[in-house]
Amino acid sequence: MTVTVDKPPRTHGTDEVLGVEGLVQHFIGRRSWTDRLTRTPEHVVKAVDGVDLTLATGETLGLVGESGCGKSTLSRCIMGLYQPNAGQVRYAGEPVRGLPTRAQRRTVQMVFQDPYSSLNPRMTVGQTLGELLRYHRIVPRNQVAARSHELMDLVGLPHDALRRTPRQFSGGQRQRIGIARALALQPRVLIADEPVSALDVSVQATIINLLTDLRESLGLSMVFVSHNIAVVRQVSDRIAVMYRGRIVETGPTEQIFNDPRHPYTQLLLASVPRMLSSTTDGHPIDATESLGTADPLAVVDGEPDADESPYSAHAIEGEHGCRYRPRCPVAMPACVDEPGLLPIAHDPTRAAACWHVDDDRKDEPR
Amino acid sequence: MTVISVPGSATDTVVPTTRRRRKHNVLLIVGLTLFGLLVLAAILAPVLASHDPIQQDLANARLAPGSPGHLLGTDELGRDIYSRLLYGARIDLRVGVLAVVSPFIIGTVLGLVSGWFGGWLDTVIMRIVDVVVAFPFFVLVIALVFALGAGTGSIYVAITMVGWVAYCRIVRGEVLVAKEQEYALAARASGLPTWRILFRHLLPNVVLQAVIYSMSDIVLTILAIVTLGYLGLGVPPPTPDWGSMIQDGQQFLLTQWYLATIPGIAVVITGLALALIADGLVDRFDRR
Repeated sequence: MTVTVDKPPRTHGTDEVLGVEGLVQHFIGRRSWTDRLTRTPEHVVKAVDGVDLTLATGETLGLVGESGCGKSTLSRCIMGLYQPNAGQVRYAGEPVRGLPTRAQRRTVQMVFQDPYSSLNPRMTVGQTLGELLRYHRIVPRNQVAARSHELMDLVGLPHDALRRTPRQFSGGQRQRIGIARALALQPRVLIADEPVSALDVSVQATIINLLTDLRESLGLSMVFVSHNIAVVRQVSDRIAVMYRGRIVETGPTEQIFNDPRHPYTQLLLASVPRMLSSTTDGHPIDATESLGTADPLAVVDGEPDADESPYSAHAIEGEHGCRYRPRCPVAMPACVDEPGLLPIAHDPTRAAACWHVDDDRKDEPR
Repeated sequence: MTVISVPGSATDTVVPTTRRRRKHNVLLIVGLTLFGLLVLAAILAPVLASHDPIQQDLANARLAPGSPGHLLGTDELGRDIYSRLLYGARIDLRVGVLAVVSPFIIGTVLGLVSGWFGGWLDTVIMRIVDVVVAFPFFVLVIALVFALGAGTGSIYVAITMVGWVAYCRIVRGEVLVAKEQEYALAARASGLPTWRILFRHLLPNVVLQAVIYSMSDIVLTILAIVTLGYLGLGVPPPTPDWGSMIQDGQQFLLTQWYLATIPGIAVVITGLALALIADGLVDRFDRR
């Protein structure tokens, strides 16, 4: 897979096509009556804990973070598959109240992660597409077949694929069908939830290329969710780094890769195997040096879902302070106050949720 | 240099299915053939029968199989066993199949709804299921038939009221798994109405286990009719059914063993046919 770093700057409008404001999605664990009797506290998983995002027309936003940080939950909230506890989602500036309406559903569509479970095994591809085209009245009934053929052409599958069931396709082909299904509603925004992580590496590149081609030709905006930093770098105009339900850093792709400001972003970039992360354009990613004070890889223990880890207890009980503090190599006493997304002084397009945001910059050392 | 062509390489765009799939589903074919023959025998009973199934002939009572004029012998009242067997199939197969249809439909729909919506609806439905399950199957059926009065109509009602819980539990469990599958999420994300997701997307994927269970349920229902007949709550005599034939014959088990054994074999063959169909359906439709 080639990592294109010198992307021609694409022009896109500044009008918001998708907006997320203060989104909160908590999951409360089941409590049995014995738990209630013994007053066992509720087990709350704060999957998404206050997220703001905007997506401009034609823009691709890369959403990165480790497994369990809330990426998928956030994308499902955006899709209206969950009813968030708080906050608001806007499609094309219009707030979604409760569940998206039939018309709103057409604005935003999703490509799912697992091509093996995301297609109904009992419906042929033609039935799946035809049902959507008819229900949403995308085309007149007598043109459903013609439109289905067009969709197959768009995603590079033969027309006779319409008569087959998903089991007759490979993973990459299934993912193309999943993309065709999302495109059937002619959405303005495509949410791609780890669209290639279940695929062979050799197939990943073709699907990525298909998505980027479609984005250009159809003028789509895209939220690209992935834990694969290299892939995100290739497709995204802008990146949002997520950690434990919050966005900890946002900014244009190259700026973040060249100068990550949040220690978690630094850890993520430093964790990428060298071959992929360094110098395709002669710019080494000095993630390990950018803080100058500590090696971000020094503290890497702790899994976000492990109940035993010290900081998950912190998140359930007191929940004060920076959520990255227990893993952070540069934590300090001030970190008991959780920083919001702080703008970075020298670059207004960027922000990071760290008190150290403007410390120790490489180019202007203090 | 010669070009060696490799069959089925590169040009093949659609990957052939990897799962081993028998060309001929022997189980299903044998099962359906067997069951088809039974149904045919029941339908053609008036043509195939050699005697009137309720015509008594006390002079020729308890003849052994192979006796002249009576292929499978006669019972204690001199009625032709072969003819009674054929007419019995009419009653037993009809009641067995029909008494499974309504619990199947009711249980499947409630299971779909219960599993999909969850919450208080699920709690209410599952508590009702628990109450029904808490009673032994036969105790409840017998009590209901007793309250409603003997006869096939009461049997349908009683078995429906007790039998739906099994389908409800099976389907609910399958729905709980299926609704987290991404195809169900995709259907919701594309804004399709809930009833459509339930019946077009989920139902075909969850119904197989219920269908398989219904095959053995038919046999259980036939056995229930046998049991009810034993208690005098089944099909009223002299209408022949396999249950009452077994019950009547068992008192002669030591002297004329075939009186109870022949209708018993008929029940076993029916059960075998349905079991083969169930296994065949798994082979044919289970895509996991």
